[in-house]
Amino acid sequence: MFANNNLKICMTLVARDFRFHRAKTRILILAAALITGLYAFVFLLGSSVEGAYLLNYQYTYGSASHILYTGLTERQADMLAENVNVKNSVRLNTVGQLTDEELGQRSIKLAVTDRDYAETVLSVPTTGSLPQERGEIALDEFTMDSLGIPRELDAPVILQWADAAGETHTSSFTLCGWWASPTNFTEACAWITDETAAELVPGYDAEGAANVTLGVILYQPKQLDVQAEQILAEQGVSGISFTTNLAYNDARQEQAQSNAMPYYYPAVLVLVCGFLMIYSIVHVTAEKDDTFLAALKALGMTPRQLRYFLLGQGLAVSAAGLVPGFLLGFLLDLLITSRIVTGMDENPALYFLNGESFALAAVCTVGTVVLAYLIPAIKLSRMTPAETVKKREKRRKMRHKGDGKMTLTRLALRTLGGEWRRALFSAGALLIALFLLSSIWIQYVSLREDIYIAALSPWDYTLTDGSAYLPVQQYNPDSRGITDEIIEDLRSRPEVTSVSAIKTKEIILTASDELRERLSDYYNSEGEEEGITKREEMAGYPEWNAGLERLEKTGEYTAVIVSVEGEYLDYLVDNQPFNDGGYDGELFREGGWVLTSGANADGLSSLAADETVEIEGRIFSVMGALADNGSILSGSNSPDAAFCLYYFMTPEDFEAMFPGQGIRQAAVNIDHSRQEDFEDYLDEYEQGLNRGMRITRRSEYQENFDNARLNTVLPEMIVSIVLMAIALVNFLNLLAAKTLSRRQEFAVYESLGMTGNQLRTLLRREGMFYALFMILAVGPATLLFDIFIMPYVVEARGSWCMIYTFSAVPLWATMLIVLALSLFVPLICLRFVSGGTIQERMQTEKPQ
Amino acid sequence: MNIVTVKNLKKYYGKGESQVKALNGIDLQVEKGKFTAIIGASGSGKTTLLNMIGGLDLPDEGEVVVDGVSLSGLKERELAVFRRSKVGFVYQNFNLIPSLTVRENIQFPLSLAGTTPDPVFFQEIISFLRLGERLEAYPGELSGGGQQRVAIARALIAKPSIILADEPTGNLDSKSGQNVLGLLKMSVETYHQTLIMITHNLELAQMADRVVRIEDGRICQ
Amino acid sequence: MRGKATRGKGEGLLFAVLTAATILLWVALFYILWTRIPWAGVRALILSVCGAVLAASLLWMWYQRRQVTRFADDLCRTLDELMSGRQPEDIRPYEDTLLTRVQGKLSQYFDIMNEGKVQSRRDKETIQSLVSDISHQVKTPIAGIKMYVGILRGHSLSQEQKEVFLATLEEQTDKLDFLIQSLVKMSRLETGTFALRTQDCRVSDTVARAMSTVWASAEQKGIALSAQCDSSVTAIHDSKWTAEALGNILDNAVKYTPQGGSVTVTVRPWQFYVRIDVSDTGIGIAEEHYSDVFKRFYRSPETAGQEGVGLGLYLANGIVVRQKGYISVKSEPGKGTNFSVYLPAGLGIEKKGEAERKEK
Repeated sequence: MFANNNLKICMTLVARDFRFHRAKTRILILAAALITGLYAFVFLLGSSVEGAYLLNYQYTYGSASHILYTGLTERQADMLAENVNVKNSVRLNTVGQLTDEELGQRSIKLAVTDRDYAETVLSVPTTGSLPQERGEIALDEFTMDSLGIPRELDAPVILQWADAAGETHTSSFTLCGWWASPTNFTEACAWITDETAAELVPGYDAEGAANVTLGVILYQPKQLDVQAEQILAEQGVSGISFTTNLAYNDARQEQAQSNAMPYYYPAVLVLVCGFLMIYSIVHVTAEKDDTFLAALKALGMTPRQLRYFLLGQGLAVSAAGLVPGFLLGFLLDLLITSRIVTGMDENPALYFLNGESFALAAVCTVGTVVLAYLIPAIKLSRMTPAETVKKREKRRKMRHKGDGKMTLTRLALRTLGGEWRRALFSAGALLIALFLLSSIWIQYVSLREDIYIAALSPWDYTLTDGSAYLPVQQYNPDSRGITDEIIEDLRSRPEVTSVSAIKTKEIILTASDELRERLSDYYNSEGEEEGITKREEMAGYPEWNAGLERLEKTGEYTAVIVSVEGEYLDYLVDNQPFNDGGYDGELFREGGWVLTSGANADGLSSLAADETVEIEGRIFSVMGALADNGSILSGSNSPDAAFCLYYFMTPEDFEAMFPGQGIRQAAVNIDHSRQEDFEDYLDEYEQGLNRGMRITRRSEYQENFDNARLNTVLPEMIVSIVLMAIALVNFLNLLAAKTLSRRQEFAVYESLGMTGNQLRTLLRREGMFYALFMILAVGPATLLFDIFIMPYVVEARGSWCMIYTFSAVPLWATMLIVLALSLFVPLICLRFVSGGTIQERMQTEKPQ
Repeated sequence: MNIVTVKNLKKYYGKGESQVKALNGIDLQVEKGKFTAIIGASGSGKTTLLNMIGGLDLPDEGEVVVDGVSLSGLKERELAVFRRSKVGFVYQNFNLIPSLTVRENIQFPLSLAGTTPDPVFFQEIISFLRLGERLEAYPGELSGGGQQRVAIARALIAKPSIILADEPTGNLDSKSGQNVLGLLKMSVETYHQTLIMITHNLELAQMADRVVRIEDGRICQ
Repeated sequence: MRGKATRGKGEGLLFAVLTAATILLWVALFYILWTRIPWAGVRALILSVCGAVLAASLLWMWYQRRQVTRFADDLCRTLDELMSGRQPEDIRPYEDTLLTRVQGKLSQYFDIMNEGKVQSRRDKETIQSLVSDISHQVKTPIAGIKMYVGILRGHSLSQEQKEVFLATLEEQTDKLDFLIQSLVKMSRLETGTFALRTQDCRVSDTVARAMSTVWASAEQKGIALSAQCDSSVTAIHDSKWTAEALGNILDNAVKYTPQGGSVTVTVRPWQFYVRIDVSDTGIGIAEEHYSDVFKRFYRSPETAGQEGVGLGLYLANGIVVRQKGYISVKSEPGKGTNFSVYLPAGLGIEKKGEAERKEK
């Protein structure tokens, strides 16, 4: 049958109540806003992290396009672009491939400028512009550093490149712009104008030339491999190779999700704690509310209407809290996400901003708040109105023993006695927040900078040649990013305690028969896995294998001569195990000695101690053989030196044989107390350079550590701080409600002759008792938690740079706030309820 | 014709030795259109009896039949509808909703039922109880007597068959008390309602058609 | 008839338009699907979703229709039962549905109608008992008169004796007259045939009029008669009839107050009522008889010696109640009685003046 449509009055009641109990409403809205903020923040952060992982895959892939088809003709490209599943496409005309040896593994296309395509591969110049005139070229910084091109507009650029047919050309261009592309270093483009292209390869854009790369973006990217094939089949194009974007790979997406999962966990925390806190705020005035609801029921409100009313209240509170909550969440996101998701030009908080997170936050908040509102309804709907009122009266009739003499202190104690349950609830919420905050804080202070820095950076500053900054870059000895003058300058700085430089030189040596046999045996012996030789383990490195074969056949091998001194030498002999011989510093410095190494493994894979080697006509005695494969060197050696033996010698010996070599890298130690001065100097110095030199700073390690330390705990810390705020708001609400609801009671006291001063004293005492109660309820428990539980938690985190460190700062801070609230809130609230005559106040309640 | 029939009504509070027999076997018939006053010392079970008749409380034993329907057979939802359509309550402490205006308070039982008042009847009650000028005020802004008049108007608006008044004059001075009682009696007579009222005041009780005295949970004749 | 026909026609037109619109919409849907969406699967999907939406709305309409029919059926059954005078059976009267709301109103209406019937039957009974009361009350004086008339006619009596008998006869006729007048008033009151013209007027005038009727007898008995009344106090009442009621109360007071006693009238203006206290220093009324004194022909045992028929207070109560006022008694036997008459308060003379000025 038609249900009676009588829910409008519930909404009216909600609206009126909302305005009527302003103080309570405001506190609830505040709590709801905080919770919404937390949810929004957690979800935004989680989705940002997830998105960042996906974007990272995309960067690794090198393009934002879903599928890249390569080697198409113009016509084929047109056909593929017309497929119904293709949303839009970008294309690239490749003229050829750069072939300079120094570029190492990177493949750089010489291509005709296409801004759209450049944008999808994040290769738009940040300095200068895309080429517009004949002969201009735009490059990325890595390529420039590898080729030793100074960072100056209009600098001459001479390139070797191969066209589609494989013919090698050498051409010169003028630099018109460059960009830093920290992520897509394996593939890059060198942009030239179509005019230049036509000049270099006449007819490059002819109909039949298969030099077009087409990047397509689909409407619904699902299984890209299948879809790519399907598009080819549908358009009748065959024999075309393609690659698909890693970010849309199922496994990658799952990986991104699971990586981002820890960032979503705090949502559970928010759900549980948020519910408890809203519940306890709603219930601070439970007694009054029960009576009110009983009155409503007595007037004929059906359980359905009652539920609707409570639901409406919950919804109103959450709705009012949504917008400020969203704002808070967004602000937190803005502050925090950019710290956690790094390496992006755009602000990740803005880049990954999405509506879903907000919607999800709204849903979660509404769920939490409504739940807190509706639970009492279940209890209440089982009781008749008379029972509800009776229960309340029973609660009031608490028996008190005593001699009947009433002092202010006793009166104050009695108030707490009557409210201890609710105070306990509030204390419970505070305790949860405090546990969380303490746990996070102790984890934070347990992460130790000294351990981290000692492990990660044996020396304070590392200077590297621009061509040898990254492991995949091939060191270009002609780059000369660091010169002897620079080293001298550094040595003369007052802050500097030591500077050590490394120079390297690759030469061809002929091995003695003995060495040849030794190495051959060594690499043909069984490696770490049974049945597989060391040589077979290296099957994935053809250049290495070629080097070994050459040694076996001709006895020739590439030797990398390294000049080491100071810190580097110490590090080498202290940290790398000797396979043979040892190290005598004084003897080594006299000259004529070398340390040698082959493979980074046990067993002699080089010359042995006391054997000799002839380098540039000089005979060197081997002092010791290290298990090292040049790990202290930055960048990579030339492909010829994939298989090589290292000879470490003093700078004097090196200089005598190979004068004028550039410096590959340098280690600088300074007086730590003057770090700032030195870094200022470095900054200035670096800016004055126009050549590739990269500096890794001590402050960068510190910053890295600080960031990493903060990032480890940040999401949880924010959540626990906000939860702490809610718990304190909850306590504040308890104090405020305690005072505001006793308007009539105070009027009675005053009518019985209590002075204003006595009333304030009473409230102050009450406040003291409340504070004492809270402190007793949370203090010892938190301390026990900090001292006995936390060591295990820290251990369970299992971070190598963590040592349990006791700190109770959150506890002390909370205690202070609790004390301040307890003393001041009741007195402030008293001002609201002490207006009007005593007679007036003894009557019905008025809007607050 | 009896509009209320109470049969062997029993209600106990507490358990074991401290058990209180709030009602210990009450039998009562109330004739339609009559004014019945219930008197007795405090704690004698008057309020409990009134709550049972009004469906605010459920008996442990016995039965309450109002207008031919036994209340013990009603579900909570139906009890609510019963309360708002069949009975009008006037309490000692008024029980007005502080956040609603006087007009909304008066119309509240009808709003709960999803209807609006007959404007003529509403006007009649308002002018009868002289609330016309204070309709948009909040209960907190009214005097005690004024609030009780609002409560009476609220009890009358749904034209219930029974008005239950629990010491309606208890919180008022004797002058306002007489005023309120006169209005109550008048309205009951005007609208042919049955009035059951609890009072301490014998002077007020004498205006009733029938006086029922309750002692220790029993009716004493 | 014509109105109905046009409405029928209008509905038919509306139906045709709706049907045409539905068909048109479907055609449009098919057209759009076949021209704009190239995938057969998607077309089928959209079509089946639209079909499902249509089916769901039809089902919903059917459900609504069934609800309305049921609603009407149940309502008709209730009406049938009420028409035949039975209480509606087999309904749960306190369900929170529209049906019970309407049913509740209907049975309330039925009750009120019933109330009217019961009232008129009660009126009839009242008149019957009235007639028997009258005949009973009138019997004694008439028998007396008859007897004296017989004596006067049958016997030759001396002039002196005649005078005595005639005086007695006159006394009996006076009594009869008083009785008849009271009865007439009472019967008018009971059957509601007299009209009270209530208006906002001075209470002091009414009190003065009432007191004038007992002035003489009070003086005769040596009873101090006094009144306290602010002339600005007004009440909504019929001055003539209220004076009659007050007169009756005063008459009683004077009657049952011994010589040398006092009767005081005090008027107190309250917010909603004007309270007129009539207190005497008479014999008083026992508490258990408080409500009896207003009953018809009630005479307390203590007052048997006094003449009277026991109609005065009954009449007074009737008059006051019909003016939306009420009377209460408080008494201490042996010390005196206080009757309080509550009349609905007027605006007060000043405010009344203001209101009149405003109207002008």
